[in-house]
Amino acid sequence: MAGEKMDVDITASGGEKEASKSPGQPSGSAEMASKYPKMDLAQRIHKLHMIAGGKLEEDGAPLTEQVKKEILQELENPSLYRRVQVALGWPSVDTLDRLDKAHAEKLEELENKVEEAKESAGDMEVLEARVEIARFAAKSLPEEKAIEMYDKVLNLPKLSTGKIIDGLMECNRVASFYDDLKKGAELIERVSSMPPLLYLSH
Amino acid sequence: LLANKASKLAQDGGDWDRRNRLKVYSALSKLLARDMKEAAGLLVDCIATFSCNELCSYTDFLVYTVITNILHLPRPELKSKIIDGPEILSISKDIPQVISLVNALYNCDYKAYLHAMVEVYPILISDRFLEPHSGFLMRELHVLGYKQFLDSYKSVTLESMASSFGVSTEYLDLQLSRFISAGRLTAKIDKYGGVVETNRPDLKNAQYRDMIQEGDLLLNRIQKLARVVDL
Repeated sequence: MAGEKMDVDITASGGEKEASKSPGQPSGSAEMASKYPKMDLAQRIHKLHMIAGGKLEEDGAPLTEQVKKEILQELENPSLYRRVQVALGWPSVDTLDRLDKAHAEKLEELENKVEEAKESAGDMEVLEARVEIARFAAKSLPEEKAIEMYDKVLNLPKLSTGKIIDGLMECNRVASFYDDLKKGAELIERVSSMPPLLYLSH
Repeated sequence: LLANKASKLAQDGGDWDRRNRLKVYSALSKLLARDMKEAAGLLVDCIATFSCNELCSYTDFLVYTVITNILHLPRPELKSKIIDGPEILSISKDIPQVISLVNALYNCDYKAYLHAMVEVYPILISDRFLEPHSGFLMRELHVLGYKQFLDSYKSVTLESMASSFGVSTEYLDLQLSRFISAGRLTAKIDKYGGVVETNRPDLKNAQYRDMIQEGDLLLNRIQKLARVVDL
């Protein structure tokens, strides 16, 4: 993929000062980044683990309710709920199987959109449809599925370098959310060797 | 030639925005892999350009920056980049424990330093990037404090040192002996006299010794070569 000719998508080229006028504010490319996976949720889940393990002395009940609500109502992520449920001994809920079914249908619908875009539209539309699936997977599906979907985005032909870098960074967030250090390091290695970043780092 | 090539590439355009974001991603990846030195360097470089709110909050990012850099930055840089850094000063109210830690170390207020370490511990535990290294960080912070204190003395009584750190002599003796036996502190404890004697390696002497050894090796090789050539 790296060997293919790509249209370099450079959104900001005015140096470090221009890239971030005010530290802590999202920059051009950061604003376009996916909202999911939510890394602050990962922090809160970690905190619950620490409370459950007795390393932090806090009342975990309000945080538990907040996290449960976020996983089930905002993310609608049954696999994440099951993962945390096992570790923290949460009760099982009926909605998980229903969510699994709904997500399978939604995934099929989104895949159909990709096929439609391939047949009747251009590369940009195919990319948009693929990114939509990847972001949906990052929000509501298991880690493996999300990474698989990002791989499909990254394997699209004629993808600009900027889009590849963004895709790799989003995929890294998925790996980091699920504490997948090996995959995360692998992705960072890959994105660091992208031509426009490689020479800027020296 | 390389400079020209780099200049040409830079003229073609550089994606600084993504590069700055990637630096934060790399730093956190290094942090997770416990490559604290690399992480510290990358984090301090990103203080003014941070824009990765999708990865962590700016406050969390500055906590990572301070905690990792306290272990690796020399004192003058610690003062200019961390203690007097405007970005860090602007959020110092949100992370008072971390700021107290770095200030106490810089001001050689070791009692406050140990106290701040106790207060920082829950922050390390509740953060998913720092928690796996909380034990390591606490140990390194201890070593750093003891090393900085002992650097000022040729010998110091255990009692005086314990009083400076606000701990008992038994506790200090246990801690120091652990670090000395692990080779982390170059000192000796005279338990009978209740004195800690520092044993700083002399850089000039070490260099002189190395040179003599390497010179010996070189002479041996030349002699061997000379014998071969004679034949």
